[in-house]
Amino acid sequence: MRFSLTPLASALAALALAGCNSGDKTNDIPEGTTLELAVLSTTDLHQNLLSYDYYRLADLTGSGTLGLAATASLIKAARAENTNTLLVDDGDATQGTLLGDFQALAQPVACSQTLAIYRAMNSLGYDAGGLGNHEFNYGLPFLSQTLNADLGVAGVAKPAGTCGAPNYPVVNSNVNSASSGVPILPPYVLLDRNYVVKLPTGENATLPLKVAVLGFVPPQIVDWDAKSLAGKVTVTGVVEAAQKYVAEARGKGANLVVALSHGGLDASTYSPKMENGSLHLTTVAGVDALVTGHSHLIFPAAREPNAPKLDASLAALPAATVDGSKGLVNGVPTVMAQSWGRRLGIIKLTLMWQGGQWVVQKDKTTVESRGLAYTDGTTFVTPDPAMATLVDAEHQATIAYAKQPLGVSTDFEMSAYFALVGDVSAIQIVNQAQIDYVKTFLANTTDTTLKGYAGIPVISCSAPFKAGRNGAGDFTDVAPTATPAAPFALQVRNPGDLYLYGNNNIQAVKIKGSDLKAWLETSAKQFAQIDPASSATQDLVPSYSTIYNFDVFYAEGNALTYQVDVTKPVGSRIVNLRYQGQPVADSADFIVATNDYRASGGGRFPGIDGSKTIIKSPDANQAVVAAYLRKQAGLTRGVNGAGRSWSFVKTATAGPVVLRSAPGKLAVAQGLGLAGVTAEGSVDASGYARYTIDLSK
Amino acid sequence: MKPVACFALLPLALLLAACAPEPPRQSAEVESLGMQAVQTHDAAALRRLSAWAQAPGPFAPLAARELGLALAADPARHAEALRWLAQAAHGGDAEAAFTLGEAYRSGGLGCRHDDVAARRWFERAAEADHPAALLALARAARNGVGEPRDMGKAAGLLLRASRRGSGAAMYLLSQAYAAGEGVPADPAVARHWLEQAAEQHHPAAMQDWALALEEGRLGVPPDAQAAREQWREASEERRNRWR
Repeated sequence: MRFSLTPLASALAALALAGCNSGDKTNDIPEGTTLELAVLSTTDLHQNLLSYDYYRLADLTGSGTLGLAATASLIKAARAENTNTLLVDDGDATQGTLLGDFQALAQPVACSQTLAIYRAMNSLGYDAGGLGNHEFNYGLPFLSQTLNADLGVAGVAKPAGTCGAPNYPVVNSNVNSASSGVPILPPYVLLDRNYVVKLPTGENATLPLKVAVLGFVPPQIVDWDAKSLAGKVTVTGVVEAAQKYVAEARGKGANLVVALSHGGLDASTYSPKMENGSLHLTTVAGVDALVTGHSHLIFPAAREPNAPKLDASLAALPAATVDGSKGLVNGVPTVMAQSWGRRLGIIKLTLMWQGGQWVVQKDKTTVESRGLAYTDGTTFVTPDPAMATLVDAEHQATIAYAKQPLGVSTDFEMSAYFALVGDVSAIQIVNQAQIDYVKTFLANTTDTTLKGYAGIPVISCSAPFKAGRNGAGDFTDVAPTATPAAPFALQVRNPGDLYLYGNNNIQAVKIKGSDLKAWLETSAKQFAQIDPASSATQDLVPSYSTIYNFDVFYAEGNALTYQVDVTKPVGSRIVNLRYQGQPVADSADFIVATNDYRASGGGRFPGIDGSKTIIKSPDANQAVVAAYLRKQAGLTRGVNGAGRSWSFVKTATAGPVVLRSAPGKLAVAQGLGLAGVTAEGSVDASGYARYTIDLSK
Repeated sequence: MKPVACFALLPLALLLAACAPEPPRQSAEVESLGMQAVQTHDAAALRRLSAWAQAPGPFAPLAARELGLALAADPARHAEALRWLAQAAHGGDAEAAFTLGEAYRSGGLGCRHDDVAARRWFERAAEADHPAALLALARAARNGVGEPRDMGKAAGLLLRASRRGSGAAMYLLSQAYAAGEGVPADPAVARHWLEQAAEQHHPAAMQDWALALEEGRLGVPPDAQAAREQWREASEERRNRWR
């Protein structure tokens, strides 16, 4: 069947016809007909719907506005500006905020439910989406259910029936089922769209366009999520996948090919192992537009007034390949819309019918990574109020979850007010959790090197992370009312108080006794050198700026003990370092449970620079603490808060020594039996109370 | 030179496996096959890599390295893996040389811990400016492993590794400039390398960059909003950068 081109008046008829037979209707398209299409893209949304920080329970609306509700307003504006649009997402949509963890881990969505982020995206009319590496964080069964897709992976069964899922196709072309070798999702989709075109006569008409959309993830997913992916899926390089499937899609009649590459731009020689291989996709014949992500950058350079400059890593790419101002890579229009819904990628393509096919007019293509304050650089768009209504139930449930009981009570106040004079009530539990994790890890390892470490003592260190760094109110104080008679039920968010830095992963290092001494000496740098003969007031801890580097060590049963002589200069303050009652020899071996920050050199502890790391784990210290707390029947001071591993060498001073802490906490010190804290003094200009410390007690 | 001591003889079967498949045309082809071999332990892929590794050609060392890496996943075949990696390293493959150095340094792949052998392989890889090998040599210099502590030498190696893109080296180099350790103290240079390391998503650098934004360290202008965003980035990246 053939049909004639129709001016807009008969466009409806064409639309109707396009649905039943797309045969060779393009034969009659007049040479020179043009089609303008805006490919709109989001990337790395990371489950940010509303501008909200669930850990701090804080609304970020204002200069901190982000999230899809705000991006929705950009989408609306772009649709108003462009007759023909296609909306796509480049992955990393489902993980990132507490809302994501809540729906995946704490209270996993049932098959009948749709993830909040997908419900929001469904409401916006996405045309297609790709995966990001974080889509694999929650495992393949969860991915299968939430995409309502049989991944074809042995042992991963999609729940029966139709599960809640995106209402648009989700594609990926470089992850295959290990059991079958077949892609776990459709490698690409062919979208039949009808778009308004301009005929050479100047009249409008409507014509079908077959758009192929492909998706790619970094091959590193099999390492990053090895626990859930090893042996189940295999990955290929992005170029190899593109070479195969772009040609296939073209063979099936694709007029336009859009690649959704969840990776950044790296100009190094191509390797199928590279993490950010997007740049090389522009060398694959047939790719017309490239949507990138993963590195959370803005490409091309932002255009709003007072916009940030193009990121240095992008500016350093060879100019012959990458035009960071126009958004072209090897001539292929390329965009990256930062992250968390803060930008919308807009690739405006002009296609011209030339010699029997649609040809992208590169000189008429524009690319923009449009920010939420795109009009004047300061006024943020108003988030779409409908979105807040749409996801309100999930939003409220997440907030309630943060405040929900963790399932364990404590019979003592866990605070950091006096952590610098020996109290461990908020630190010991972290150390106990870390030791438990590392011992369990070593007990279950199949690694022959690690097995050889059986018998080496596992000890742990952690710091009072919230101990005055951000002012007199910034001290950990979990369960201030707790007593044995009235224990306090810990909440889901409390592990975040006990272990502040949610970015840390647990690691273990293997060190010598000499390293341990040097480590403790470095921790002890936090103390001023006290002159016992001075009659002046001396501040025991002059600055709290790097208090996260005050590592307090602990071994089970409080078997590791040491003393700090603050009258001595930095580097010679640690004395009486003992393990199980015996002095620690320089040659003794220890395995220390800590975090990746410290293990890789954070705080500049001698010799601790990544070279002694023996265990690396994808598990957050915060999650390790939470899991350990959940395993306990109840926390008691005797078992979890009184294991004071260190004390000061007793010293009489002529003048007063003071410790700055939150005002009104003398009773806390007394309750802890800290005899050295003798009085609460005046409050200084910054709001800290100055407690008198008697170092002779 | 024969620095490795833990080799077994190659099984005869593997040596005979060469049945002259089409030679590879580009490095990506060899690496793709290597990825397949690592992920699937596919015997045909191993055979083909073996044939490529043994046929003279520009990609033979690369094929030997990929074969070595694939065999390294199987503890029963560590001796073979080491043999192929050594062949690759002798053929000029820096990654293979680094892998061998790391095996001796950490006592992996069935090797006994041997800092001298490790150093020899790291030095070979460093001839090609292999960033992780340069970093390993820098750590040995700063920690005095098998040599007197030499912070100046360490800083020089860290700079070479940093220029080749090692985030971990950038981070340690930033610390060296902040503290004047082996180099003259220079907060501006320290800041430069800290920012670069954070851009590379080195976890500790991301944390210190967030702290610098909070407090205005190293001459970084304090920016509470940027600091909050940096903490978020660090929390997201921890899932990717844990290895």
